[in-house]
Parts: sequence; structure tokens; C-alpha cells
Amino acid sequence: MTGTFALFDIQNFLTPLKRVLPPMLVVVVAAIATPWPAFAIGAAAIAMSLLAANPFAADERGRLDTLYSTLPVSRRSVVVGRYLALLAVYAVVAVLATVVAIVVPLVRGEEVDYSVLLPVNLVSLVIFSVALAVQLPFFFSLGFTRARPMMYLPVAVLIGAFYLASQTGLLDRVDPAAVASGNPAVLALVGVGGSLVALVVSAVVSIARYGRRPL
Amino acid sequence: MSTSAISVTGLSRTQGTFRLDSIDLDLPTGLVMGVVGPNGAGKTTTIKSILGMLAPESGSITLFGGEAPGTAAANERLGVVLDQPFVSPDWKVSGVARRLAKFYSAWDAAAFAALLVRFGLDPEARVGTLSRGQGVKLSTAVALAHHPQLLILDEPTSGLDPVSRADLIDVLREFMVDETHSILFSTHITTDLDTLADLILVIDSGRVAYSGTLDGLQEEFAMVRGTEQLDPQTLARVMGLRRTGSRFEGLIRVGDTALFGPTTIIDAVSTDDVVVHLARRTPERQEHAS
Repeated sequence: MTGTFALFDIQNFLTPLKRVLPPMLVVVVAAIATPWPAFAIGAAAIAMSLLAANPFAADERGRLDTLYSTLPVSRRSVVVGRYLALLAVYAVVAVLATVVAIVVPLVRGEEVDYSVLLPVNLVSLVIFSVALAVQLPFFFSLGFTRARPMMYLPVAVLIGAFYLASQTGLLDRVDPAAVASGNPAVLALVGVGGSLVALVVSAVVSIARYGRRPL
Repeated sequence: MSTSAISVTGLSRTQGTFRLDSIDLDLPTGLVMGVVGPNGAGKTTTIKSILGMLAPESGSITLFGGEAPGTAAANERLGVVLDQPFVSPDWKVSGVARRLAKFYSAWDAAAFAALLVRFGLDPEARVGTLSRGQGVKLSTAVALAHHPQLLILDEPTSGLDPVSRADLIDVLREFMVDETHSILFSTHITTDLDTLADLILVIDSGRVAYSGTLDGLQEEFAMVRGTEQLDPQTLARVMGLRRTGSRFEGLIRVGDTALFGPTTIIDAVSTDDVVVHLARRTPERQEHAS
């Protein structure tokens, strides 16, 4: 039933389809308006981090938590299904952002820097996963309205951390080229593995909190 | 021996200042139980607990002779209708079925379509554009489309016009033709229960005020009317006392009939009488009513 719920949630996320247009617009603008087309991938992660609360808003609007509690689906499946649905939607948006990051320089007649695509995708995945891991237990525990500030917290923390790193000179010590030239398998392992650990821990907390929540 | 569709023992739960206190309920398979009581009596809290939406502080709840509430196995055999639909206002009526069908092994698309026709619902209409009555009809179609054995309805008829109410009651009667089916039906409109309910549960201030057959209600309670002066002890036995000039009226337990003099009229009660007078039972309400 977890898979059934994930598909149900994806369908709801994409209905109406115009709900997905703003993040895609952000992705395209990020690729066109900045000198780094690969930034589209990072923009996708940030936009999707902000949109992760949408299903919870839809739950409140349509009293869908009541629906879930009457369906033959456990609360655990609801939680895991929602994590999977959000990851699936992010994966699609990230693929589209990667395509945009390739197409935009080609249209401009510039050379595409394929070497940055994997590292940027991994960093973006980590950003999105951490944002999800931080937000979702609050939404499952408190519902959309009460947990709403959590929607902005991960992005605010990210921007704050970036600002601090740049102010303290930490950012200057990071060599993107060195990161990009690292072993792709190691980078993937660290990025995907780290994301997975954060999401699993978060899902366990969410299952416990949602299981106890009065609906 | 028939199993219980719902068995609740000693259900207690505190929510803010309200306490649901040791509710017992037994709905045998094949019967309809009406749950009545004033606003805030604990009907919805009881139903939410039976659905697994609220965890009881103490007591036990089992469905179908052993299933825990809120489990996938129990919900597969359960249909739920609340006072408002609990589906997204953005979905089309046909989309509701398309989405929910995947969750049920016994979803019957033809039965759902037939109910939409019967209720006059447009499959292309958005849920958000439906009237309250149409919303309840949609919920009923959803609740019945997977051929449940137990229907739980929380005030589904409130706000419905008489024709829609009659339609709904007809559908419920047809549902009960199968003797393995059962209904738990909470309502404010007690006339809905007159021809449908076998059993009645009266909840007042979080406690069971009466549980038994509709006929048994007459054996438990009576209406008392008169003009004589009542001593404080007798007065205390009258629930929902109402005074108009020198006249008084209230609800009493049948066992207290002997306390009243020969000039007092003792009448049979309706379900409404019981609910209304229990609601007025608190001192503030008594004072206000008098």
C-alpha cells in the first residue's frame, strides 16, 4: 500500500499541473539569468524544498488526513509514501533542471561543462534531502498550519550558512574544481548515502509522530 | 452466535476540558445503532476513536470481532460518511473514484457510477462546487463503492433537505438488506432513527445516558408535566426542568415516577425529548430554561 499511496500523492502533487510551473520557471530563469547554467539544478532543490509543504496544505484544505484514516492504508504507509512521492517529484524536476543546464549553454553557443553536473546534482540532492528531513517530521506531527514556519527554515538556514561561510572565508577554501574532479563513485556514495541516512532518520521520527497525532 | 461489528469497552479520553468517560458500546452484526446526544456530548469523539483517529486513554475498541481500529484490514471492510466530504475540492467527482479505487480490493466502479446516477451527481463536477447535500451523497457513494460490511456515519443528514435525507435513509435501508451489514449512525435528527435504528445510544456530557433498544427508551425515561410545587429532592430528579408560569415539564427516570403526586401527568418520551432534556440538565441550562 505504500507504493499505492506514493502514486496517489504524486497525482495530487501534480493536480492541477499549473502548481508545478513556478518551480520549473525558477529552474529555467536560474539557468538563463545566471552565468552558471548548472545553478538551475540547485534552484530546483531550493524550489522543491519550499514546495515540500504543499501536500500538507492540501491535506488540511481537503481534510485528507481524515480520508487517509479511513482508507485501508496504515499511517506508516502514508508517511513513507509521502517521502517517496516527494523524492520522485524532485527526481523528475532535477532531471529537467539538468536538461535545462545542458540546453541553455548549447543555445548560447557555449561549451557545456559536463563535469559539474554530477557534483551539483549531488549537492542539490543533499540540500533537498536535508530540507525534507528537517521539515517533514514537523508537518506530520503538527499539520500544515502549525508547522508552516518550518517551510522556510531549511532555506533560511542554508542561506545563513552560505553567508557565514563566505564572511569567514570558509567558502574561499573550497575548491569546486577539486570537488568536481573527485572520484564520481565516492561523490555519489557520499551524496546519496548521506541523503538516505537523513531521510530514513527523519521518516522514523515522522512515523512515530504521525502515529500518535489525533486526526 | 453473531459477532460484534463494533465493541467498545470503557472508552475514556480527555480533550481539553471535555472528558469522554468510560463509554461502552456493542453493535451486533446485522443491526443499526443510532448515536444521539446534544452538541459536545461526545458523539464525534466516540466515532473518531472507533475510526482510530483518536487514541483512547483507556478502554478497548475492536471491530468485526477482533480487528483494531484504524488498521488497513479493518478499513477495507468499513465505509465512512461524515458531515462534510473529506476529499480535495480540486478533484472531479470521477477523479475521486479513480484515486480511491486503487486502495480497495473490492472497489466496484459500476456500483459507484450507479450511485452517482441515483444521486444525480455529475462525474465531471469539481468537489469544491458541490452543495453540502451533494457532498454527503458523494461521500455515501464512496463509502458504499467498496462493498463494506460496516457503515459509520457522523451526522450525515444535518443540513440536508428532506428529499435528500429520505434518499440517504433509503440507501441505508437497502444496505441493511444484507444481514452481515451493520450501521453506526450519529445524528441530531432523531426522526431519522425511528424507522432505521434497532438500537440507540444516548450520550450526554461524555457518558452513556442510555444504551438499548428504541422501545427500551420508553421503559427507561418518561416525561413529567404538572403544576404542583415540588420539593427540592423531587426537583433534583427532574432532568431539563422547564417552568412556564406555574407549570413545569421535565424528563425523569421511570423508576422515579412514584415521587410525583396524582395531579402530575406522566407521558411517554420521544427520542427527541430525551436528547433535549438531557441537554438542558446542567444547572446553568436549567436556570436559563426556567
